[in-house]
Amino acid sequence: MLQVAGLGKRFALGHGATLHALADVGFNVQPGEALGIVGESGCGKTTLSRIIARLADASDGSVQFDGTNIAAIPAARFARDPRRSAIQLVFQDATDSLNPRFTAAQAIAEPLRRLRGLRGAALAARVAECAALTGLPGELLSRYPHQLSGGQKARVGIARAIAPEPRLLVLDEPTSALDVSVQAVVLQLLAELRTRLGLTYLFVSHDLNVVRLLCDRVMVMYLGRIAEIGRANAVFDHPAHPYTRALAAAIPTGEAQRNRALPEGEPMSPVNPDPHTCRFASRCAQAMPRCREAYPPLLPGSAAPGHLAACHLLAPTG
Amino acid sequence: MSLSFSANAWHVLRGNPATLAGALICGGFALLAVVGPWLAPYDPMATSAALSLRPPSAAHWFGTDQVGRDMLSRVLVATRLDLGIAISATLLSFTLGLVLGGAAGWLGGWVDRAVGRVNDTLMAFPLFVLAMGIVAALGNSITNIIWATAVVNLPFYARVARAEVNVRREAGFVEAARLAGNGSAGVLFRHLIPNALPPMMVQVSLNLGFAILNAASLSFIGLGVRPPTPEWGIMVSEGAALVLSGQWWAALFPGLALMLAVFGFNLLGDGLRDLVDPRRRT
Repeated sequence: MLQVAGLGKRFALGHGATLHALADVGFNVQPGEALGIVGESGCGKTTLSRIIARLADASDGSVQFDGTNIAAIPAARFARDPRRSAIQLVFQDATDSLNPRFTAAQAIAEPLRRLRGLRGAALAARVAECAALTGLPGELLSRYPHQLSGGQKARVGIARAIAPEPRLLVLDEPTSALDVSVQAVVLQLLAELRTRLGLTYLFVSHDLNVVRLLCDRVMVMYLGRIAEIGRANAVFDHPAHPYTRALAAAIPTGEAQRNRALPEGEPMSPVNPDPHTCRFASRCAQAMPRCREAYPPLLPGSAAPGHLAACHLLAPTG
Repeated sequence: MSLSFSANAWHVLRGNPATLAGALICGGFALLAVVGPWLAPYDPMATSAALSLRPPSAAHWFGTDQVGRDMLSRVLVATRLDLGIAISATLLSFTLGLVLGGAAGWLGGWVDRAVGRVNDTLMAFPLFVLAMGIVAALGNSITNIIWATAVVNLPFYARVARAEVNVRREAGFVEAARLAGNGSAGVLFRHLIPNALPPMMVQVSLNLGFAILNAASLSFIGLGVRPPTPEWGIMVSEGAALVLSGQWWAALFPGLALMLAVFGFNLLGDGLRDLVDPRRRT
């Protein structure tokens, strides 16, 4: 369904400095699958989700959606593309993503009007249907965002995203701005919607437990590159990349935690990075001279099929 | 939203006595602007040497001027012209400011710089001197007074509109609007400009008062509406010379009308903003 290849995004900072937000990112997503994208702040998760949702343009690479390279269509023009309704996004901050002058019903109705051409009774019926699907009580539909709670605003955001019947839903940390008590309910809702509507998810998060719960596969990113990708169980149970191991060790489990291998040192700067150095080398306890000579290719991380990690430690010859 | 507009207007007015007073004053003037010519007891242009400079009396409530015209009739009839100039000029600068400022804030780049420099240039002049210059250059007509008043106020609207659009151009709801199939113009006109309206309305209320004063001031110095047309600024100007000789009424009543109108517009202030801001609704 989605084939991403060689995706890169650079921001010119002036004075010859270039920020490499994404470099050589490639992965596939099957229909109905949920791919989790994890990594720390600034690792390129949000940039990647914005490019795939066609809100931003890539510097290089391609995004094949149903066989068409949608990365070749400028983001400004994609708004009127017939595929616009097929890819929708749920925003991180529901409050910021809702126009303060639109009622909940108007917010959900907008993509239906513009993308589906619905009007009148058909429009009202579909708005009510989407509200019901997301568990938003009908009497809240006439309210403005400032009259809704955080969880209700999140539901409006989700209802708006599923309204034009997308096939791919990009979720950019949809629960990170919510109270913990509301988070679980919203995650439950997202899991239900996925099976009910047969949606494909691209789930961006920094919460590993959430990703493990909701996603079939996981992609770990570090400074704009893929560190590790594979089935969620394979990646979390047998992390192959030192960065993933550190992330997995940092998951709070409630038990007393010894031997926590937390990375030390400063992360490399994403500005003008040396293309021949592993980007994690500066924080890696197992860094070898080779890590500063060549960027490691994606190598099989375990016996599990499709489990890959970008680390020289996995190379057969060491 | 339309269903609750009158209910909302009532809610805004009831919660804010100053706005209510402003609305009553402005409503009164608006009514006078419409029916003033029929209410006027005398022909505002009819002169009479015998009635020259009569003090206020039962027959002539506001007295008469030097050539014997009834001041009450003249003040009433002038309402339409003064209010008309102020409202047209304010509408004009509001619309132009919204479009220019909105484009500057949304498009950025050279459009933003060009609009910014025009604003700076206009604001570098003392406003009244600039208005005087425009009327002096273009000629003494009501259309030109309206344009002059609109142009001197334009930078204030353009700046507010630019700032309001600019702070929201990266907002989540703007991206959401793109996802919903809005092109650049759709995002600007359906999402960004409506959000710029509340602070623009405050500017409108302050500006209506300024516009009416500006037009009257132009007439006062002889650059605006020409005598014998009834207009508050001219009447104050004509009456001003008579105050020293004791005929205070010729300047006082048009001056009071002017003051009350400005006061009324300024009182509207925040209420006008609350009216267009759904966040003020409960």
